[in-house]
Amino acid sequence: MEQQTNAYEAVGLMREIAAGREPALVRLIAIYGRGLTLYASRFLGSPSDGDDVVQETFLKVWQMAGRYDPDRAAVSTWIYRIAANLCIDRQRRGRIWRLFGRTDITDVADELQDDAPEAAQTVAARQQLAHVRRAIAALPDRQRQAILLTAVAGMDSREIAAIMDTNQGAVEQLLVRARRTLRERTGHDDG
Amino acid sequence: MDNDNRIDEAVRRASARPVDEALLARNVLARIRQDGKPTASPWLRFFALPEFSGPGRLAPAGFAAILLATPFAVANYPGDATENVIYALALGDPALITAPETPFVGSGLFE
Repeated sequence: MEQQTNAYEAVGLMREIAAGREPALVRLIAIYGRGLTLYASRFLGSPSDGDDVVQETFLKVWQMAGRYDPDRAAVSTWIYRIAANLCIDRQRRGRIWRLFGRTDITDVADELQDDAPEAAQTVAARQQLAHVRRAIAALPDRQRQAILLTAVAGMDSREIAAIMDTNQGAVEQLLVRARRTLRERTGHDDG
Repeated sequence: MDNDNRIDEAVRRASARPVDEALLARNVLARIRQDGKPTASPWLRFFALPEFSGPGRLAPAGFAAILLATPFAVANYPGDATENVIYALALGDPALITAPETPFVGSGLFE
């Protein structure tokens, strides 16, 4: 119900943003900023890169709001597609830099200290979180994209297909493979 | 909770981090007021250009040209002009360097 309300409100906000009204952009950030940040940070394995990508995403929303067509896609689909493309660009650049010896690998332990103090109060819980993060990072890009869009962003397979420019069947396959791999690597199985 | 939900929940927990939407909004608005210019050195964004980093397009000659051109461009053409200089040199068209209205400025290519 809340998602439907947000989706309806977001279409109106896009019109206001296209007219240059900053408060509308601030409201749009309040609706989608959190989900986009969690998605981008985990996809890239780096909170700082995730933050930067989300800023760039909303910058593009501001610049391209006039091109948004509500008949073609929901606002959330349109925004996540921008973010997903920026994440892929960012990742590609990171790989090129790594060819030249510049590494930018997030230290999972440090990240846990900063980001998840309540969830990881015990050593075992912290290790398990780090283990899951490594397993997510090791997934092929498109599997990681699909599982994060469904688990973190709450998208269904139709929306994910639109974001990833593929069909629903392919998305379902990506999700099956991603969940199976994560289950095998993290021990989250029956029981 | 079935297996799929259990995995999704583990992914959600592993992705949790504090998010300050108000700070995010302030940062975005600050970047808008800088005419959309990112705070990082603009010439670094070169590596994201599809001409050089798109699938199958990372031609060694183009990449080498960028590497050779970068120190010259950074030293002599600060700011956004740098991007155009590197791009011009990489494309092997030095005439573009001296054209402040070079077609790449404001084209959206670097945005």
